[in-house]
Amino acid sequence: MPELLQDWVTTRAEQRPEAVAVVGGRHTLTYGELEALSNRLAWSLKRAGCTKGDRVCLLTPKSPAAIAGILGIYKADCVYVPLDPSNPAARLGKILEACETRWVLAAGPVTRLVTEISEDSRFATSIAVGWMDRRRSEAPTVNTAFALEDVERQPGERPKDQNAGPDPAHILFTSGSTGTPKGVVISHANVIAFVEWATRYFGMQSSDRVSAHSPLHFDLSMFDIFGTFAAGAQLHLVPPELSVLPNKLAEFIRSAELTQWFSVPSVLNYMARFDVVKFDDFPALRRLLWCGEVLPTPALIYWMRRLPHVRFTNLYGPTETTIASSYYSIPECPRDEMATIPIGTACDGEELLVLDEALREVRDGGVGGLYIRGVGLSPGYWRDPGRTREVFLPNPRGSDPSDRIYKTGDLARVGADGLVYFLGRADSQIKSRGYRIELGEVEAALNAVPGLQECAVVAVDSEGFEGKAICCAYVPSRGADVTNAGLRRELSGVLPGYMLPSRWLALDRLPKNTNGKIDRRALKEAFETHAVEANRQHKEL
Amino acid sequence: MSVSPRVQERLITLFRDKLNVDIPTPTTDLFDTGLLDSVMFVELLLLLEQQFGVTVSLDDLEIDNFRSVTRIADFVAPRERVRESA
Repeated sequence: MPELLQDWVTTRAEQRPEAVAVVGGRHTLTYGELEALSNRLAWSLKRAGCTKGDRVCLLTPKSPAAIAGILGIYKADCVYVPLDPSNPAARLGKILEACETRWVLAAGPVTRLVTEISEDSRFATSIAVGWMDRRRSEAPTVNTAFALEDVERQPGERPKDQNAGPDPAHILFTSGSTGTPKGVVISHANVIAFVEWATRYFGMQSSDRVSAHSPLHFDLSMFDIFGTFAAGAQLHLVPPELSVLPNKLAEFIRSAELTQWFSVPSVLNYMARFDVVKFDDFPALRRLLWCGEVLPTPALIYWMRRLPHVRFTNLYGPTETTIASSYYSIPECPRDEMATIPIGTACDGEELLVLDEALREVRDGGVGGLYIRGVGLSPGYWRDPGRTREVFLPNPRGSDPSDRIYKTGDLARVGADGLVYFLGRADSQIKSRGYRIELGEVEAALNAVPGLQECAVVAVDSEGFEGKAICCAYVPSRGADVTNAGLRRELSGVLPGYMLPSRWLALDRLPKNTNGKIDRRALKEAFETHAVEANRQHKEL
Repeated sequence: MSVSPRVQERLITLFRDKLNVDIPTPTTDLFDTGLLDSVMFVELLLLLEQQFGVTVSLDDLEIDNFRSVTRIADFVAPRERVRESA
């Protein structure tokens, strides 16, 4: 087993340097090229002053250079922090501030965003940008650590490591209920443990052609990338705009001859809804995996009927326990559209526990909180021991303080078949299109918008493919000129697109329960009734 | 390419009133700016059918047909079914 994530690439580059590692449109990197480029990036970072444990943010759309950037950060003994270029600068600023970084690696059409960030007085002098392409001249005012020409002059040999397996590999920022994203620290050993299990379980080989569909700030991308490199296979980057066009996505899977595709339920549902999959389509495909939320059974039936040659596997796990902690390969196409698909059994080295409030095991199929124990457990939240203590608890059955369990906040039960079934959330966190969203973060952003007397954000089941629809009810301040579209525009300056409410209601007052709190149940009902009503009106047109 | 200002205006109103999105200009790139995501895209197709009588077939699902309000108008205008009341 390797000690560090970059070791797989170094080994493959020694064995088969000419083998293709990453394909992104017309750009391809072989294992030899990927190794050399990431080594040069590592030396560039080190010469710019990066030392062990420093956080380096990566701001770029998915590209072969981005993958080299991740490896370069690891090889400089630094911690990788992905920044989603579709986020507004204000939200990226929160992440930059939280992880106290001094370096951003940039490539692709992000020069406007980089310029905006560097104009922020908090970062103007503290952050320097390393350019992985030739766009430096498009952002002349930005403080530059190094340009691509400087990278190309660095040695192609790998620097000597100072990191070990338990050291942090990356920090992934997820939605935080108080309005500030929270950083989940993941170690090299966390990812390696999952990838070792998954490559073995799925039988991944060097002949595999693996999709990289998830955005880089989504932890599923770590399996796409490092599962591929562990197997010495090819990684095929899926262009993000294809997620809007289901027919083009299907064409991509066909023409790239993908053998493994790791997706999310909203995409599978979207493609089923547009009926873009033919019978016996994607002849090269062997494995289709999904994670992030529940795949509705009718969509699963749609896929399994069309692709009898493919193995379908449901993976489950929060970011805090690294990529996935449990799995269930569907043995045969369900006959009943109402059938519930379990999240299954724990991956090797992991344990799923269904516990009551006193952390006692819930028996006989009863409902309890889902806790996870094992090799995937994150060391905790970045510089937030309070929040870490709340959800990473000592194992009630253990005596070793390093033996911890993670409280997922999900509800579950163990079926008579011994498999674990997911039953929903115990709090207001939701999943929409695979993204984990704290409604509190959306509410906090709305509260900062002028012109609102009060507001509340709830989620209702969507009749569409995205899982949950985010709904906002608000009361305008007296005399304020507030519109749904105006509010959405304000929010889009501080929140990423997937966190913007899709349904809006302007009310004279918000419903309250007897103790004066906002009655969220009544609000949800209002949105559900409203949707039915709107639908009916459409049909009558 | 012929531009249909009346259809453009109706589309901008549709984006504002039905999809709750303000479109800065008819030529704004809806994909690059992230204004049009997959959820909204499905709703847009539904609204084009309801309000313009235009059914979008799978073959019409090209990025270039939907890149901006101008492009959508050019796509919708020649296909719009004449309706007695809008």
